[in-house]
Amino acid sequence: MACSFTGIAKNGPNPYSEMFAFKAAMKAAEAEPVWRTSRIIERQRWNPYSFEGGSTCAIAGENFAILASDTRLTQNDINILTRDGEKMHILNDSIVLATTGFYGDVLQLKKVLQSRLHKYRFDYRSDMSVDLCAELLSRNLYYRRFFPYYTGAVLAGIDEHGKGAVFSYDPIGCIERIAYSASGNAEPMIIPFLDCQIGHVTLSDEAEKPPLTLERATSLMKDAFRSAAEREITTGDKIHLIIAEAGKPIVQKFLPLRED
Amino acid sequence: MGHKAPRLTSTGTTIVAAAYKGGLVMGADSRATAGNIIADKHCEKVHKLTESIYACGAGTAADLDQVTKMLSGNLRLLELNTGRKARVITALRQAKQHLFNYQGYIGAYLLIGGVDPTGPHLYMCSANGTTMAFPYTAQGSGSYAAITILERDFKPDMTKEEAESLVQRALEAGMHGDNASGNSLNLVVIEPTATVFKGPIIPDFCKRPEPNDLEYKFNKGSTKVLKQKAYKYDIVESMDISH
Amino acid sequence: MDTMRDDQKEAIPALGFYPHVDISTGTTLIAMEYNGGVVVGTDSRTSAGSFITSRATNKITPITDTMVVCRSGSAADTQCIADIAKYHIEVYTMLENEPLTIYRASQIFRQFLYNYRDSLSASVLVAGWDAKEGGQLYALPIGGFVTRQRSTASGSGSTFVQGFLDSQWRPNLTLNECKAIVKQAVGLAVFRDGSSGGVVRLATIDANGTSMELYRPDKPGFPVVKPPSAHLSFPPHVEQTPV
Repeated sequence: MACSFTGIAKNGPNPYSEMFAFKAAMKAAEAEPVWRTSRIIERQRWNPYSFEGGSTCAIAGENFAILASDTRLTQNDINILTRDGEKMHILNDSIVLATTGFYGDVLQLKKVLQSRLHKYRFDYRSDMSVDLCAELLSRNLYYRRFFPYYTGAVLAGIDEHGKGAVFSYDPIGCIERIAYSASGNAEPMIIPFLDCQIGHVTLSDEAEKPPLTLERATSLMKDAFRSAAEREITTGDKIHLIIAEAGKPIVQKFLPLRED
Repeated sequence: MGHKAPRLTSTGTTIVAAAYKGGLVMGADSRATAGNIIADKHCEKVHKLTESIYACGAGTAADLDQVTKMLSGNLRLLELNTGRKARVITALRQAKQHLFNYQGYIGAYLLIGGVDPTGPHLYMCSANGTTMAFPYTAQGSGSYAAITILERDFKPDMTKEEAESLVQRALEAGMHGDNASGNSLNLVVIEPTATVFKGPIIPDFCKRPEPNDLEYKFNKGSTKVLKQKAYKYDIVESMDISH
Repeated sequence: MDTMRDDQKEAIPALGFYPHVDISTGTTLIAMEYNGGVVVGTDSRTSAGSFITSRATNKITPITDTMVVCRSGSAADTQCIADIAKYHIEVYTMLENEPLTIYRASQIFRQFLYNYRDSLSASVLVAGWDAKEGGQLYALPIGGFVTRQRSTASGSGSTFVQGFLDSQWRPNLTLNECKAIVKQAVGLAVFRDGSSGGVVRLATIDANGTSMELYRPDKPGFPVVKPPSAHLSFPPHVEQTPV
């Protein structure tokens, strides 16, 4: 506790130094009392976030986009909150939002986007396109740069040219348009699988590379979740599958996954 | 600070045991987790200490293996030295004194049970050395679900079949409701005359509901070869290491 | 004392799972001398955080035929101290070929509680009967300070009944009077204290030895507590259903 006050006595000890030192020590003790161990401080630190686990995934094809998620919501990696939670939300005829992370923020984000899309429809008499919505989502996420939505969002749909589109985000709005994406606890398992099967990143030039049809993408998606549920504890219960195909209505499906 | 030590734990576990008329049923699920990843789907959490004393473990997998290994060794030596069957209370004392010595740093939470000449016994021993005797109990992260079944359905002096079904149902509740438990369950039924081991039993909800759609087989030459180099060597001596 | 690894202390509040919280006997211990010996009474709850690990614990640990110790604080620590002290007491008894006085026993407990005061969170009541002094009761709180008491309460439930005990004790109580007071005191404490509960256990120690009694809430004999009810007619403008 350094005290720089030397204004009164030039020679000899400062008559007030003891008092200043005491005051400084008192102030320090108030700010961080010695009896508050690091653990107590850690426990008392306010944390408005939780993480409900699960995984989502999206694949973009030539004229389709397909999204999947599991339906398990988990508390603290262990406790199952519900076996049929919805992590994916159909925003309009060509846009689907799939989000993992803090479920409170997932719902809030959905609400924000829905209301913005509603207003867009009111203002312009047409549905928003997926590219526009992707930018909108990015801006909404970055708007909360210092109190982020704790979410890993994936936005997918059919763009204005009838092509499948998948957009991937980080919690504060970094956006990327890619061919396939995953988010959530099983992301580290699903991405390498899709890298191999869709990106063909490990395959030699001679190897057979099957084209990505809707059937193949659907099967890969199902298999990705079935395999993830085998090894990732917060992924399970059901696969929620959403298929958006150009010029066709969006189709939803539920498939069983293991429940343990 | 810094990096968390990588640890293979089975903290997420359901282990259950219940005494019945003249015997004891113990059981465990078979999932070992490292964080949120299943490290082992079929690990053995029911450890044999002696012919008629078993221990089910929750906590750090390595600690459990070492503690139960130590206990079974010591109990066998005791049996050889005395020419008598070891008692359950002996196993418990050894476990608790060892664990208390390490002040909770050995993360082993044990259910120790068995039948000895003084009857069937079931004890719980926690990592810091607390021990308790129970007619029925559960441990691990799935114990909250399991204990509800036990508290609802346990009756004193059940038959063997009733006790077995109770323990299995309690385990299934734990495996169903707890993310960190599942895959399959193992049971051991200990009676004065015989010890019967049952498992792995796979409950319906632990079975894979649908097989994979596609077959993932890679033809020869699928992997990109980046670099190739051949080493020439002479075989001076060879040895069969296949067994 | 906090000795666990940081990564083991990850709490799961939703499950009531606090690994860093010791399994402890948030307890009610009551003890009282009467004209021929001493009566002790306890609840039976053992909890880890908000989870009840055991609801029918026996917190009265017999040390000799005419001495018991009632434990409160960390279950692991008190069990260990009781074990070690019991061992020492048995050794002295064998060496000297006569039973130890209760005072000597309390001093042995004190020795451990004081010497290891930095690493233990244990407090005990030593109660017993010896030929020299009759029924005696020694209270040893955390730290190893000993006092001989005529009537005492310890544990988390004790605060609720201190006044009741003060008002009830008088010299030369008979056995039945003393038992009634102790039982009622445990009942009152259990009623108000969240970390005490379960059954009421009484132990009477006199020249003839120790006798244990058990009172279950679902059977007659359990102490009745009926506090004055609140005025249900308040606030007057809200209609309340009579209870």
